[in-house]
Amino acid sequence: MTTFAYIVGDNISTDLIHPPNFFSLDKTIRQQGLLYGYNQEWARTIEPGSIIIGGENFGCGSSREVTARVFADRGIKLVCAKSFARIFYRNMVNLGIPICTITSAIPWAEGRRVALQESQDSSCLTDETGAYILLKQPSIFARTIIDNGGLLNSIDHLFQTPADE
Amino acid sequence: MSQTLIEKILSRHTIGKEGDHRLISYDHLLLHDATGALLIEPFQKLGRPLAHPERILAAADHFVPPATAERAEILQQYLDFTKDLAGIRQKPFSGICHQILIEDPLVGPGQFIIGADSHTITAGGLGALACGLGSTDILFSMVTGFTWLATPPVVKITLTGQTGPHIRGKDFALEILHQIGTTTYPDYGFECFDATASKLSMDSRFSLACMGAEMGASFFTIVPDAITATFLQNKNCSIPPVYPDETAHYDAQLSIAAPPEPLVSIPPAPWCVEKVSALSHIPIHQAFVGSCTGGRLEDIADTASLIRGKRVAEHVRLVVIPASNEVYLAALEQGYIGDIIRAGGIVDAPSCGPCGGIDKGIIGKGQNMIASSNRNFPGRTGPGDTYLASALVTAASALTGYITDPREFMA
Ligand code: SF4
Repeated sequence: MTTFAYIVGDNISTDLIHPPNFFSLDKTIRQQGLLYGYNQEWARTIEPGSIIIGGENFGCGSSREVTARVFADRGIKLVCAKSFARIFYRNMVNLGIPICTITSAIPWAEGRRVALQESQDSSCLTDETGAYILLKQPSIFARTIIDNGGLLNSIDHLFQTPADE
Repeated sequence: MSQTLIEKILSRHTIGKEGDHRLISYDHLLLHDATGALLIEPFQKLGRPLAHPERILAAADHFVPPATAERAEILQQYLDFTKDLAGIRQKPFSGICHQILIEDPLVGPGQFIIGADSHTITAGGLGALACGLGSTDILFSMVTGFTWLATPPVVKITLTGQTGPHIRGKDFALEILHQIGTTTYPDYGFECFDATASKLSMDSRFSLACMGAEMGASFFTIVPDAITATFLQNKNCSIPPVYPDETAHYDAQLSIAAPPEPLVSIPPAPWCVEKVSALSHIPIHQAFVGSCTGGRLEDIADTASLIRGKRVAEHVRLVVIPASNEVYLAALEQGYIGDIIRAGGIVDAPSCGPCGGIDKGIIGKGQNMIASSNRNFPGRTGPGDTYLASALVTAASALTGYITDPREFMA
């Protein structure tokens, strides 16, 4: 099964991913803001199940967690990038939203339909011509959190709550 | 084994291990209305008690006072929520969370601080370790009493040169961004030594540490010295400083000399930096002095001293928002607020304002703003273009209507 992958550039800030005026506790308002600062057309048309391909430093800037949550709100299947800003990466993991790091060149300038093949440590996205990008899965620790459905679902499975100092 | 300051503080707060990650207890946990509102529902669903209520400091600063009905509702939900959290330190309407944190006598060097906002890193100016986290991470820490973290590599930054009256912490921040951008040392801990001839003021240091967020730093801590000691003494904080070992190993080292002239960050990102003299052709519609980077007493004093007895250029809006009530009151006492108003400036109550695109000074399409704040990503402060600089450059630009070198107005 193929799915559409949208390609964005380097340094996509959280203000582009989700402009501040879409900040809302109401999901219907919130989800309209997905990538609105980058491409208003996409914000309207991105379908559930889509994949986002970013460059370096994806998600830099504000720690507003809605900028991560909006990917779940819109049913995005996978967000991958050459590198992620720290807080954004944690937010995605903590919310249990699938995320991968790109370890190869990106052979495409524009979005296209791709197939996702997943394995234990690495995965890849391939288009109909056979061009592909390689993906690295998050650390085992992060993956466990994602597989548990997020950090709050992991408290009892993952952490032996230590005695405080 | 000898340790960096960052390793030392991390070790002292490590209470466990989980794979490659440390479990770290915190001394303070910072909340504000915008991100705090996001964790109300999951907190109630989780149904667990707070691990250390007395370590939580709850500010309300983003939607204060609220500009829309929806924000009034978000703010109210947050206030109702925090009111019911017995034992936490409530500080709504006192100013921007990062400023009231560093003003708090309980907050000092050597501590580990987390907050639901990326600029929590600001408190590193005290010689503490402080980092911003998302709402879910914060909620996790509220109920467990710790957070998880891989030990970051550490880069040592030594500031050198003459700061001079026209060079502030903001200029150092922009110089660092100019040299290393935001991806050279991703997630590194930045450990900064002030070896300048005249030493940066604490306000300048907070402004520098604050922009560690833009450098991609996980922490930006400034090694304590006599300037820090005086600051701590003045706020009645007796927490002893922690220092790095002299033989500590750093993963990278960087020496940053004071830039000879003030710097300006141009759109679309904080790390796009130019000298102020290269930008004198750029007209501005608004000048904004405020935010957790540039709304402290030094910034307000700089603004007042530059525009005292003059007039802001016709049709230029000079918006000044003190970072906290404490800053506001001191600025009133010193007469700075009067100077600014008499020169044609607009003074608003302590809050985030147009920084973060919230309210009170958002810019429209085709408008340029020069601001002492920290981010100029497209769309952040409205649809216009934002340039970032010190309060001095911002105030000088307000006087001419173009981006201006403050030395033109300094005797
Ligand atoms: S002043 Fe700006 S950067 Fe600082 S906390 Fe407020 S919105 Fe964030």
